[in-house]
Amino acid sequence: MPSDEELMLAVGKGDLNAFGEIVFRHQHSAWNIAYRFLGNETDAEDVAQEAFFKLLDAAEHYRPTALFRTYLHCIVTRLCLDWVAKKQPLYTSKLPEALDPGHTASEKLIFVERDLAVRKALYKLPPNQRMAIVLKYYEGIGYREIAATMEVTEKAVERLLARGRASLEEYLRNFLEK
Amino acid sequence: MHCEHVRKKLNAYMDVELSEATMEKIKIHLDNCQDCSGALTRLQSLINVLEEVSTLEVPKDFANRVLAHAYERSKGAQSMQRKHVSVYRWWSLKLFTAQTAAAAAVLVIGLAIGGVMGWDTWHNQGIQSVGKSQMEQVEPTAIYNLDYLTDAPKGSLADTYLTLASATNGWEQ
Repeated sequence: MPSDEELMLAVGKGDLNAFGEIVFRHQHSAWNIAYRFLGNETDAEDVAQEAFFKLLDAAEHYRPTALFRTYLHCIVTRLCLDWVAKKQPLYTSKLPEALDPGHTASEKLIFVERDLAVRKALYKLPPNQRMAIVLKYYEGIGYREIAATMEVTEKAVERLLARGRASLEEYLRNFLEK
Repeated sequence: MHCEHVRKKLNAYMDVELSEATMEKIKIHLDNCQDCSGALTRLQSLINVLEEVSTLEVPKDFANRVLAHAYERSKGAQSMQRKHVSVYRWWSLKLFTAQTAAAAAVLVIGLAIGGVMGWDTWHNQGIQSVGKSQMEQVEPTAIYNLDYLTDAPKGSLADTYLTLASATNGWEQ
């Protein structure tokens, strides 16, 4: 199976099937970052889609100097930050479509309430802190990669995460174990 | 290690982003400090809440929509490129045709002017040659009615005398 970097080089030569493979591999990641950050499904789709188009446009000049995943995350992150700088996204409290059928009705209600609270709390954070939290806890990437993605130092990432977590702890204290 | 120092490093400790030596020192401190281990538990609880949030699936057909747009854009770009090339070719062709037409026009005009001038020259030469032969046969004074410049212009006394004398003596003029 070709690596992401090999696929990108093929895209650069005009291979749209290789582009399709990249989209299928990374659609969840791109959409997830955008959705967690923007809190709105429509905006998230626009941003994720735009990120793939930017990838396609840049493919001709792509050089595999860094991990492809970081490259894509960097594009999505920039688009998200630009998006909130230009317009305030409309936060929508969309519920998950299917909750685990193994839970009781009251448990489901608690989960729904907690999900909404987390999304609202995330949405209250300043954009940089929110993005660092999203990349760390929803993409599971380390400080070094977050720093490369957000184009800041690792120390800055540590500070952003610490401040973000302190605020979230305050916003979500009702849901935390005592 | 003091509590203040540990609290500063607690986030990085939980994310396992510290050196092994620092991780070990903090672990020893946490084992002996209830306040700091409580802070770590709260932090861990927060992370659990964040990570347990249900994930929304990527919208159905998201990838297909992206690919459809990509193909459209690709086709659009190709057609733009083709259009650009065809416009360039059309323009080149036009330019070539205009240049050729201009050259042909200059040639035709040149030939026409040359022809007219040549014909005119040839024609004038003809007239001149005809005039020359006529001049050789006829006296200039007769052609241009300059006979009054002769010795005995018509109607003059000399002419009358000569007419009478020739009639009397049988002379011919």
